[in-house]
Amino acid sequence: MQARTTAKTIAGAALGIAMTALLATRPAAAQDKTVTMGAILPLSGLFSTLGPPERDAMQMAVEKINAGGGFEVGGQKYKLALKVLDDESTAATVGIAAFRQLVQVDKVPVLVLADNTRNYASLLQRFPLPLLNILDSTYPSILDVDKHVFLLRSDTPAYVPGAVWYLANVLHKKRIAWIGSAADPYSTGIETWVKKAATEYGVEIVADVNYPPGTTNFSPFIQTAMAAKPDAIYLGGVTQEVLPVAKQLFQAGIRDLPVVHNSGATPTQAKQIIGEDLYNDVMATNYDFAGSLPETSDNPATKTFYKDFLARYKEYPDDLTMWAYDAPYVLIGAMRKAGSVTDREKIYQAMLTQKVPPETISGWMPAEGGKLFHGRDAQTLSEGVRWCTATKTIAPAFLYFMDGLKVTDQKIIENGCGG
Amino acid sequence: MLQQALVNGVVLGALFALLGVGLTLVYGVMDVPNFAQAGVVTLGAYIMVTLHQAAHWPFFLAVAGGVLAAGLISVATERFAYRFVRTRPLAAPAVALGLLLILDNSALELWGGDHVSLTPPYGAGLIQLGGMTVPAIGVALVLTAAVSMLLLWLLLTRTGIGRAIRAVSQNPEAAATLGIELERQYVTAFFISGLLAGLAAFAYAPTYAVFPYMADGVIFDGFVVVILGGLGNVWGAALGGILLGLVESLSAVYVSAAYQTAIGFVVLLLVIVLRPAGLFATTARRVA
Repeated sequence: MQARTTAKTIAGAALGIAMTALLATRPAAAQDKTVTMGAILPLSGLFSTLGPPERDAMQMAVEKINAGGGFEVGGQKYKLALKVLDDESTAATVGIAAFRQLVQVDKVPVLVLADNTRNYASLLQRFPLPLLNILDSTYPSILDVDKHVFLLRSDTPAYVPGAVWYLANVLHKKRIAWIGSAADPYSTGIETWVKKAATEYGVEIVADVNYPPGTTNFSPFIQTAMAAKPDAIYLGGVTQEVLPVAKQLFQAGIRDLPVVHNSGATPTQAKQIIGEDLYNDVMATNYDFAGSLPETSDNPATKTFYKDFLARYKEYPDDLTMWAYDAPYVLIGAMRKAGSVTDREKIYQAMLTQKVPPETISGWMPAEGGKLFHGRDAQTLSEGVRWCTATKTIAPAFLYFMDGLKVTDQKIIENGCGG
Repeated sequence: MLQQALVNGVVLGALFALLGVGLTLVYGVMDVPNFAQAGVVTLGAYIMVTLHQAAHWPFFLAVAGGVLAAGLISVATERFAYRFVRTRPLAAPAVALGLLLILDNSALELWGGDHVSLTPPYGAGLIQLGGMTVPAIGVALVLTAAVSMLLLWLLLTRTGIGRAIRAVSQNPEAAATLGIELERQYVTAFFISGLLAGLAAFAYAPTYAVFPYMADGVIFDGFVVVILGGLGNVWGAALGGILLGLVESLSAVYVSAAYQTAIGFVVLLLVIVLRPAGLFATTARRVA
């Protein structure tokens, strides 16, 4: 009796093991595989205001995609994973190692980058793969680095001239002092287009100063700029370059001139970098011109993204976060069209001709035939925002689209802070 | 224009002097080029920010906490690193650079890479001075430097502690023979140097931002000041700081703002060639 019971127990256990093994080895097609999307972002260092919100936005999209059951390519269901490596704002060393890790070791099908795209040119030639850039609008355009580079934002000429046009035609300022960063290609690219636009719109650049790398005391540069008696200041560079200069302008007593830049600084960043006691006063005269913002969009999905991001990360989402959120959908769209999650060349070809993915929220202005990319550049409306001291936040001031140096689709918003 | 450049130069020079005096004090007693002083400035600034913004200490109490912490961190660098290379001066620069990396990266690990702000209550203040507008934080910087150096001078010339430090600086063997405890003087010199680093953090951070590498660039100006003033010469460092600040400020306005730092180093080269012991060197080595 005991022997039969033991035999039953053994048989039951064996059956259980067999079932477990069977389940574990069921055909691969019935399981969800995972596609990993690679990204190299500045999560620390000089450009660290840029990387974390981009990572967070992409992660939100990835979670939403997976919560909805993932995505299907060639009859196979997939989940999406995101692997982000920090380049520590030193692309030439840490960034290169991150590229090798993601592209050669992890074999990601597509790479997302934020800045210093030129740094990866030789690696891209050796290991070609579609490269989606969500930030780097330096001039000359990064699109000439390699045919595999896509820019998931409007390029410098699409938004900088609009800032000068606004200064000349709305604020009626005709004497601009430029203060930029000599070592930052983003700043030098903006400077190029500020000068082109100034010539076009009859604005004079009365001072042109660029501070060397590592500068923390801007007083000589501010003094040189102010000696030319400008009626507006234009600051070149990213948030962590622009806001300290704006702070020192304020501390030097320059508090009544418009201060214009293309930094995309959020109220959260302004508070953190300038300080809680000062930021509202420092930002009071600031105007920032870049991509359109989720807050001002009419698209319900974009508004939902804005609310969700703000609630989850306690940080104001800007244009970069919106483009970053869309990046996983652009990747999935290209893989679906290519019919492959691994063939980089097929995905690249599909990327060139894919239409605007319907799940995206950035308000892309489609190219001919509804394609996402104009060549390899995806474009949105540009937007100028002003600071609202009553609410300690930003509000739209100017929506526009540039056709060369001609402003089109313009909408001047007079009461952004009050509306 | 000239007046404003002079005022800017004095403000900048006060910062250089504050950094330079701390460096020269340590060099005077131990022959160590203390690059790690930049890391002490950074940690001091972060501690002030944390005490003020996270622990909600009143601003000046947070500053006092940060200055004291900077003094202790500086002592720790001496106890855990420099004392082992005291008899091997060629190893000291490598140790100093290694310590700087450790301190900077500790800040990065503890507080992250984001820029944060230390804003004093007078951060928005402006002072009219003879037709010029001077930021209140600039005035605070100059006053901090002036008071610090006066107190340091009194300490070094009017107290037993100061006399002992000077004796060690001039001749450690003779000082030891006279019963002066060398170890205590080394620790004291590093503690004072750390306090000066903390004061530099308090004066410097409100003008820019607090981040892990905030003082790595400006510390080189501190070393230029030390060499200009004569190694180990506290008053030389103070005057050298003001001189360098004026040179950089005036050259930025009248030559080229882009080359202001380079021009400071040209002055340094000229001093090294024409007066190798420094502009304010004396025949006897001293720290007062």
